[in-house]
Parts: sequence; structure tokens; C-alpha cells
Amino acid sequence: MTDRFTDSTGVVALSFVPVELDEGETAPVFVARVPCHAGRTLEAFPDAGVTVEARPTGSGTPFVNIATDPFDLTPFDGENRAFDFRLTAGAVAALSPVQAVIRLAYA
Amino acid sequence: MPSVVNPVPFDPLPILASLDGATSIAAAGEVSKSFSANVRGSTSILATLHAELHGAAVVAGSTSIQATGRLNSEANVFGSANLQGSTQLQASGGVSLAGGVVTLSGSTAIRATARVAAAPEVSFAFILDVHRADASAALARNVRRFSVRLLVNGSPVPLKAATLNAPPDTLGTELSVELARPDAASIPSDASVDFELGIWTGAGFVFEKLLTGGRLSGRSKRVVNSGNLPTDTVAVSFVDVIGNRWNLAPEANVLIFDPDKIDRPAASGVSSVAAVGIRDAEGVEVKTVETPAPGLNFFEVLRLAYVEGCGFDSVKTNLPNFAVEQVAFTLSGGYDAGVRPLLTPFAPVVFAVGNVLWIVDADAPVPAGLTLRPLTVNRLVEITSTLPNREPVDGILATIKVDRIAGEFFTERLEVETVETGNFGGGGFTSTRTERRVREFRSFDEPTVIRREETASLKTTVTDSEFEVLSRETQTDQFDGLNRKTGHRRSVEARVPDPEDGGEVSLKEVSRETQSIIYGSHPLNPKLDTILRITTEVEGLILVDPDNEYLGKPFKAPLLEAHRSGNVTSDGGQTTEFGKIKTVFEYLRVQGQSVEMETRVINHISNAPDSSRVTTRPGAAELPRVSQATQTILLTLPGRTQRRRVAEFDGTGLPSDTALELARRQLRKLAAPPLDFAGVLAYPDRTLRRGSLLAISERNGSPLGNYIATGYKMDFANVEDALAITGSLTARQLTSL
Repeated sequence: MTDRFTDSTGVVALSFVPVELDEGETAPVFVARVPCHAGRTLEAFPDAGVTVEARPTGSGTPFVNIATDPFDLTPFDGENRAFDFRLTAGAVAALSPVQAVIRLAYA
Repeated sequence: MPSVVNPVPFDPLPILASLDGATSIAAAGEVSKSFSANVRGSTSILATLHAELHGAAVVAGSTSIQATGRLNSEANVFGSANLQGSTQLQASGGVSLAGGVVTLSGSTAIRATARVAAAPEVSFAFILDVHRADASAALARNVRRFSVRLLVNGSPVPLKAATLNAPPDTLGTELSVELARPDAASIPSDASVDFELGIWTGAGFVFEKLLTGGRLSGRSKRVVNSGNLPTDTVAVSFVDVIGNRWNLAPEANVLIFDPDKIDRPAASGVSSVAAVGIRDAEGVEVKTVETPAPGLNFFEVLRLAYVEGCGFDSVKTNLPNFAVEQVAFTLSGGYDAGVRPLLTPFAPVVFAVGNVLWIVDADAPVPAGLTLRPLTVNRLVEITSTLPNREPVDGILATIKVDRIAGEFFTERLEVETVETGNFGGGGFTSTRTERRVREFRSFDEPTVIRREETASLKTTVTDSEFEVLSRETQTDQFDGLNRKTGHRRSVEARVPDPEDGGEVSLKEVSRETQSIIYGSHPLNPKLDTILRITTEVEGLILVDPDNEYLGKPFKAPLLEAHRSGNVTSDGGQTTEFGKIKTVFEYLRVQGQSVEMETRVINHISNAPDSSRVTTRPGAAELPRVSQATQTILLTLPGRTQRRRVAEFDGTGLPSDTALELARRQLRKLAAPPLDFAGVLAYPDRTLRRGSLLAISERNGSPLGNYIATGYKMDFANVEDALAITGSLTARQLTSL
């Protein structure tokens, strides 16, 4: 399996997802499929001013802030698992473009 | 079972160990970042250190190792491989392996070179525009009030008018302003400039930056009388930080090539100026830097150009990765020109968000669940949707590169010869063993016939009757992508005394020779090539004798010559150093029926010409013009019924499979081109930028389609009086070709 993040169908590779929010607002949940391997984690590198949370789709578990608490993918080893991503904008002094990079890391 | 500790990188491709039987290699030293192995056999490599292993091995036989690594300190875990059979391990990198066990058995030779490669990151990004709540509420009203201001080194400078322009197909934003007070001195040439748009919230203006860190790029002043009144104007333009980066170039021409694919970059990879030589104003040569980069690929080229070269934090793209043989960054073209030939076939949209460069393929499928920004008719004054002229083509001729050079391939054979002189055990006995690796060039049409041969490497070892090595010469020839010899590296080892060690005689490298051959067009027949110049630089051990001064400086001579002349003593203050000895220049001039060769030798020890001579030989010095083989393939649309003119696509700069896929996409695009959009905005939308994804609709909400913004422009008139703002946007349709 060539590792890459894909959309909810698992077909189209993801490069960037544009989002427009007011400060303090939470974006609608975006579903992406994550290639899972033992020993790998799902983590976020956001600019200041955005909180990135994730949880497995359909799990019903609470969202986890994957910037401060990377999500261990070991239980889903070998799956191309769907995850819900939720972004919340913080306060800003003026309009600012913010990037939140979601990546696979090593545990 | 022998074991080898392999902690350090070493010279290219020496044989480090020849191991018979099951072999275990314990790496306990420096972490190397890359590794490639040709393995035929069962092989065991144990690393006691977390490390990075990057590389792949394709093996003649039933064995392969594939491993990927990453360029950081995180531990990596790799799979294991069990390999059966005879094994030759070529590690490109001082090897460290974390986890993963490979078992080697059989005769094994280990060769290694060092290189560093970063593993690809698996990631995607959310790009957010976060609005202040009060500004957002103000823009939601039917009546909106705006202001603009120019800050020069943080201080406001009043304006009459301004234009902010971000055109398509370039990077960066240009701001042109007309100053309210025609004082050119109010804008210093090194000023840092910001341009802001103010939005009235009801309580005050909230200013948001439209341009940050701009630098002066042009200025004009007009002194005009209108009636009896002066109406002077000063117009100034600025370019932002991102736009400034587009013009960056290296300090010298740089050629980066994959040595696994070509021995040396072809001269056609750099401009003819660089091939001949560039000097600065003081006569110092600005040498072309040739950098081997095993495994060179498109993503690495982007990183070298835009991250290392232009200063972006990173480059993100949804373009596919592919192997690249060579890339040239030149003084005149800059980093961007080196990458453009690889980018142009994809026609991507390029934009920056912060300090991250995005290169987006607008023809890639749109992911499910993506919410595009709606651009409805109430936000637009004018919409122009254009279908570009369709070309009535249903076929395309794609020219692609094939992995054969003018229909030629080569095999190698090893010739070993031993010649003995004298009587074994007696004085004067020598045994000379010569190992010559020969490339046999054959054609695909007649693969059993050898058309020509070239020596690839030569190693000559002379031993005496006590099996002591008297001398050893090793020469490795280099070839360019057209299978022409472009030079060689030759090392000579000989038994010489060491004056710093009591005259102890031991085997040392006494000289090292580097030769380069430059080819060019035949002056009398442009269809042929010839050799223009051969340059051979020789460096080696030099004896320095401070007790024997010449012109006030210690006398110097090549150590081997001094040894032959009996001038080496161990009781004086003689020392040795490794330095340049001589450079030989050979120029060939083709004169039709004869060839004139001019040879000049510069002695670097005496800093004087050693000899120069001109000789004339009968005959011609011509070489057949060799070119990379290409193939032209006709691709057609399904259901082709009529013969129409076909389009053409040049994919020779890409791997053949990537080129063919792009050619098919180009054909579909010609038959059904994406729509171009141009719109005039009802009010300035400062969140619109290159790369914005838009869902555009016209009257009654009829969808025009999904688009990606390629450029925008904002005009600000009557800034100090009644500000009038006109904004326009260009975009191209997102297609899934």
C-alpha cells in the first residue's frame, strides 16, 4: 500500500483542504482516510490559532487534540481507516491564513 | 564467520570486504541515512543503533531488500528479508539499520558510498482563513465601508490611488501606488512596506494586511503643469517577499544528477556558456558545481530549488513523484527555470500560503467532502466565462524518452591477466596483475555484435616474490548519459620512503589524477562531434625540504621523483604534503585531413609552464552524433472515426510512463478544455488569493462549476476622498481529467 491520505471514498489523494471560519467557530467535520500501521501515530502541526481534533469515524469516542496528543494507529494496523477531523479557530487580531498539517509520524 | 564493523562512510565503491560463507555485519557507529543494496544471497546486517535506512535493492537472483528511512532521530522499524544464494551487497551509505534483519550467506562483497536522503512525508494540510468576528459581521451587512493605508517602515504615507496585482502564472504580488504628496524621498529604497485594507465595524476600522514586507521595485516622477497649477505625481511600485524569491539563483551553475542513472551529466544539461567556463571580474573561474544525488526524484528537485534555493519552509504538491536524471540551476535561469521544464507539462497552479509553496494540479480529481467557497452572483458585478478555442483533434503524437541510447546498450566483461618477469625468489622478480573491466556496446538490432568497446576501469597491481605490493594503479573511467567517456580518476600507489618516519618505506598513494573531456560540434560537419579539450589535473605527495632552500623557500619536488633521484633523507627536516603537482591541457583542432593537438603542461610546484608542444597527426577526429533515443507514439480518443490533424506533446523531459499519462490528459484537455473565468467583484474580498477553491454560480443559482483562482487585481481610486474599489478575479475550472 502506497501511504497517502485520501478522501472519504479512499480513492482521491488529499493535498489541501480549504476552510473558512470566524474566530471561535468550529468547522464541519471533514472525513479523511488514514493509512494505519503499527508504531505510527496521527498528529497535527497547526499554526497558532487553530485546534485540530480527530477520532475514528463512527467510533463515538471523544475527539482527541492530535496536536498535543497524537493518536496511536497501532490498533488499526493494515487498515485504511476513516477518521473525523474537526477544526476550531482561535482568536485572531486580523485575517490570517493558517495551515494545519496532518501527518503520519512514528510512535 | 567474519564480522565487519561498519561505522563510517568511505570512498565510492571500494570493495570493503569479500566474505565467504554466512556473514554477519554489526553496525555500531555513525548513522547513515541511505543504503542501497544489490543482494544475491542470504544476508544478515545487525545494527545496534537506531538509524535510518533508505534505499532499495534489486538483485539478479531471487533476492530483494526494500527499506525506507527518515531523516530524523525517530526509530524506524523495517521488515526483514531472508535471502538465499550468493550475495553482493552494495550499500550506498554508511549503513545503519534499525530493526529489520537481513541474513547474508555466500560470497559477499560490500561496497559503500555515503549519501543522505529524506524520506517522503505522508501528510495533507487544512488551509484556514480565520476572520475577526467584527470584520466578518461588517462584511455581512449590505453597506460596507473600506479604507486603505500604506505603511512605510511602520509609518503611514498618504496615497491618491493604488493597484494591487497578483497575475496568473507568476508568484508574488505587486503593489503600485500614486503618492498624495509627490515626494519620492518619502519612500527610501530599502524600506519595508505593508499595504492594509480597513473594514469599518461600526466602532472603527479593522485593518488587515494585503501585502507584507514589500520592497521597492520601481519609481517614476512626473513634473506637470496643468493650467498654472503644478500637478506633479510620484508613482512607486513594490513587490512582496514571495515575488522577490522567484528571481533567486545559485552562486555558480549547479548540475545535480543521479549517478545510478548516468555517470556524469550530459553537456546539454547546462548552457553552452557554462560548458566552456565562466570567470568573474578578477579572473577567478566560477566553476560549475556537479553534485551526484543518487535516487534523484521530482520531489527532491522541488525541495532543492524552492526550499534550499528560494527559502520557502516547504513545498507541498499533489503532483506525482518520478525519477529525474539531472537538473540544472543556472546563473541566468535561477532555481525556477531549472524546475519549469518538469512542471510545465502539468500546467499547475502555484501559490504561497505563509512561507509554504503549494504546487497544485488543477486537473486532479476533486476529493469528496471538500467544501468550496461559494461565489454567487450577488458578490459579483460581472462574470465572463470563456470556453477556450477547442482544437478539432482526436489524436496526439507523444514523443517520449526510451531507456536506450540510440538503440544501444552495453554489457561488461572482466579481463584478468598476470604477467611475471624474472625468476621467482630471485631479485628483480615482479608479477603484474591487470584487472580490466570493459564495456561492450551493442545494438538492440544486433545484440550479439559488439559495435565498440570502452575500458570502464583498470587496476594494475605489481608484486614481488615476497608477495609485497610494489605499486598499484587504479583508474575508473566516467561516461555521460550518451555513453561517451568524459574523463577518469586514477590513483597511483607506490612504495616510497616517509622522511617523517625515519625513511620507512611503505605503500602510499603518491599521485591522483582527474581527467575531464569536453566534446563539441565538429567544425566542418555539424552532424558530427569531436573532442575539444582534455584537462588532466595531477596531485600527489610532494617532498618539502626546508634545509635545501630555493629562492628563499623550501625546495619541493614530487616525492616519487625525489625517491627515484635519491634525494629523500630521514635525518633532516624533510616533510611531505599532498598537493597539486601539474595540470595538462590538450586542445584538439580539426583541420579536415589532419588534427592538430596542442599540449600545455603547467607545473604547480614551480608555478611555471613545464612544456608546451604542438603536434599534427593525419586523419580525422570525428565522432558520430549520439543522442538519447526517443519514440513517438500516436494516442487517439476512443471512437475516432475521421482523420483529423493531431496535436503534439513533448514528454522527453519526463519518465516515459509519466509522459504518456500526461499526453493522454493533454489530449482530453484539447478535446474538452477547462473553462476560464474572469469576474469583477462587488466588493473587495481579501480572502481570495491564488489557489482559492471556488464554487461559482450565476443567475438563479445556476452553477458554473468548480474553479481554482489563478490571479486577482484590486484598484483603489480616490483614496483620500471617496474611496472607490474595483476588484477582479481570474480562475480556471477544476477538471478531473
